[in-house]
Amino acid sequence: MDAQLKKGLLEICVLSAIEEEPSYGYKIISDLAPHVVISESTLYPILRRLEKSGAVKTKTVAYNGRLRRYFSITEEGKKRIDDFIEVMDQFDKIKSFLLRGRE
Amino acid sequence: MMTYKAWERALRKELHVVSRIECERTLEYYREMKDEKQANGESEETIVAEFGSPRECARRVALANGVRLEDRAEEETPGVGEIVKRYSPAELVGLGFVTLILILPLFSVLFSVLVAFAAVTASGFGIAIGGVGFAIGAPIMGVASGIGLLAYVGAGIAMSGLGILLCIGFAYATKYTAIGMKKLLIAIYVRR
Repeated sequence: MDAQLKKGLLEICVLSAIEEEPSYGYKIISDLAPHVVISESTLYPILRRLEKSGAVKTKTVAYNGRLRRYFSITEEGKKRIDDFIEVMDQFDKIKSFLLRGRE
Repeated sequence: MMTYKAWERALRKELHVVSRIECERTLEYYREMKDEKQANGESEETIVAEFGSPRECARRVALANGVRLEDRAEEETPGVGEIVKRYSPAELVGLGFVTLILILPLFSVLFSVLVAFAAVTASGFGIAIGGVGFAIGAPIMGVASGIGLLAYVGAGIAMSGLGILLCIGFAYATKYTAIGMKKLLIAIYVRR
């Protein structure tokens, strides 16, 4: 898969993982694991990029004597998911067109 | 087996290309991840293995910050044998001649400057220590009283201040002279 496309897909997956409720690094990886394999070293740059672009915001919370950084989605992040779903709809139409002669 | 501390040290070193804040944020992330994994029963050895090479982690963080580590990587300085191989015998003779009449005298001067800077650094340290001793010793030994004693203490503090300034200033001068000399040597002798 094209690296840029994969990067974009992973960003959307991470945004989706925190869409319902704020989450932290370890849980994001665990939640994504059944659908997408993502390593710790891949997740962190994605989260930083999303944070810098305003798609997520962070908050550090103390938990059992250690610190957890929670990531929550912003309106900008939600808009990105919506935009992506719209693009996927177009992809579906293109896919149907590409497969029309093969069925 | 690499411990997590050693892994983190290596990562910190690799992260010199990003800002200090960015570096700390990254280390916090990995520390949190390590704590979570340990709380879920993973061993330190497994965790470090899962994190992968510190260089690769740093490369990805740097990329997210708009820095390509590959571009920043300095070329390794080759060994003497490798340097010699890059010249023809005639070039080597010429280079030897130039070294003898030009580079050797130049580097003798630069080396003297370097030693002088190092000596001033050491002197600065001595003056600072002396100043502190002067400021503390004068009241203890009772060399003067009243305004006189105040003058002794003031002079001691001024001495130590001057010493610290000399020490720091010339320590940097020594360091950058040494770095400059090394770069100059590489520029002269190492054919890319």
